[in-house]
Amino acid sequence: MALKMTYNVDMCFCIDATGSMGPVISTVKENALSFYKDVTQEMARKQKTLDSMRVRVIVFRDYKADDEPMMVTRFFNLPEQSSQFEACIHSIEAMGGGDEPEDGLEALAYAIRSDWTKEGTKRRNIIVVWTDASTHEIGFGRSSTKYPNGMPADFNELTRWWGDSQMEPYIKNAAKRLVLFAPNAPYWQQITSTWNNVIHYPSTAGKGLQEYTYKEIIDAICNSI
Amino acid sequence: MSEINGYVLNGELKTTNSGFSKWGFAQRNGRSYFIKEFIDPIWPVCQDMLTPTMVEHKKRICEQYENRSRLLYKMINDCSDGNLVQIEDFFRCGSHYYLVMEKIEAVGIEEVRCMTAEDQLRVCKALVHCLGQLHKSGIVHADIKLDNILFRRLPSGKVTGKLIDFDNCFWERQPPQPDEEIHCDLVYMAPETFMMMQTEEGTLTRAIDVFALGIVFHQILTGKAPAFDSSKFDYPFEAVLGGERLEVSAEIPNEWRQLIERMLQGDPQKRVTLSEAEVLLRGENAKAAEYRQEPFFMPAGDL
Repeated sequence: MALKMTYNVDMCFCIDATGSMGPVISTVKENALSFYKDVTQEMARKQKTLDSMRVRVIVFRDYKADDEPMMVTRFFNLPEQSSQFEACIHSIEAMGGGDEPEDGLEALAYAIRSDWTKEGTKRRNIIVVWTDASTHEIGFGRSSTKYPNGMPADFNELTRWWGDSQMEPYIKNAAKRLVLFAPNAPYWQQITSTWNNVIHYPSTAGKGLQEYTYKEIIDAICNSI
Repeated sequence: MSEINGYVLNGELKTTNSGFSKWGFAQRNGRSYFIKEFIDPIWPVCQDMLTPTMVEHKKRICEQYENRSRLLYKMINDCSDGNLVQIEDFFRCGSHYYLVMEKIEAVGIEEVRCMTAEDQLRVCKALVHCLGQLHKSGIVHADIKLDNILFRRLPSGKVTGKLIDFDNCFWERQPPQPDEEIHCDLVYMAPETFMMMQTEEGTLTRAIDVFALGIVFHQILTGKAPAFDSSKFDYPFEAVLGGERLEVSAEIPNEWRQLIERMLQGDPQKRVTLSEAEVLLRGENAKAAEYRQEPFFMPAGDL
């Protein structure tokens, strides 16, 4: 038996890629290639060693209004696949969106059902949401031909998917964190006041998260590891 | 300025160095406080969006947490003779739980490092005493680390150490289950904690605090953790499990070096207890054995 701590971190970035999100998407693009280094350096400063880091990306917009309402990737192993991760991030275009709310809850549903690693003595499964808009109720875009099967029927079912200390259908309670960069608006507020292990960084609606620097984003992520 | 249950916040609550809570400072009735907001569990405020079954399920988790926390915090306050930072308030406001402690103007570790060896050792002695008080009440702190010690200047000008952050405390008679994740800093993790995480077997005792305090003492007295082969191991507990002895610096006075070595024993059964350490530090070695204690009372459960 290996007597060595293995600390494996999986992150799922849910990025609202509608028109107003240009500023934060530009910030993420500028720093995608150095993301692994920036996180591991900050963790080293905290005297923590990560044995594996994987990142996947979910880009969400609006099922009723957009041609590409929900795009997902597999996990990228960092640092080995840093260039693919960077190329993926650079392919994101801020566009569309339709009405003010987006379909962020469906993005969360995909994120919760990620293929989280089961390896490691210690694990952290982090979902990071970047949005400057409220979100429709789940199922709002159900009339779209692009709307997937298998989504939670309602907010209650999505809440069950997220789970708690006595119920963890898809994501380990002790490992999970939800870091929300989102306005105090439906349904982000409800998530903050209903789900456990959520850290909410309020953003200004419609401003593309301009108030957060890359350093603050890295600090927020590292504090959740 | 935001207000939570009458506490007026000095600014936004932050997550700096805290994975499980947000924290900040606040004022109430002219006094300054440290306030912490927990992110788990969450009282279901938006009940109209959840089924009655889900609401009841979430409330039950919260009530269990609240009852346990209130009892634990009361026992922590009761066992303190001044060297544990008092828990002034614990309450729920809306969806979140909050803990309030007196705000202490702390002295930085840099200043402690500049003190005389005698004064540093006095700080260590105070820490043995205050963690020992917790242990005598049957409570394991479970997250002893330099960041969870506040150094406070006394009216005499001397500095003492106080323990903070009781979020991970447990009653020794009700230890975490082997399949539960243990939240503790890897730098200070005891070998048996890792083994329990790895094998999902075993039981944690107050000895995990002793190991962590041994690392803290080394940091106070030398500025760094005990040395080990960092080309082979990332953390002290890995080195111990790999058969290495943690190297306690020769800079440390002999009596203390021997004590720290005993605190860093790999086998928790062989590790010194804090009651023994207190006696040893009083130079009454012969009496040390008398202080080996069985775990103390635990709260009565349901019948």
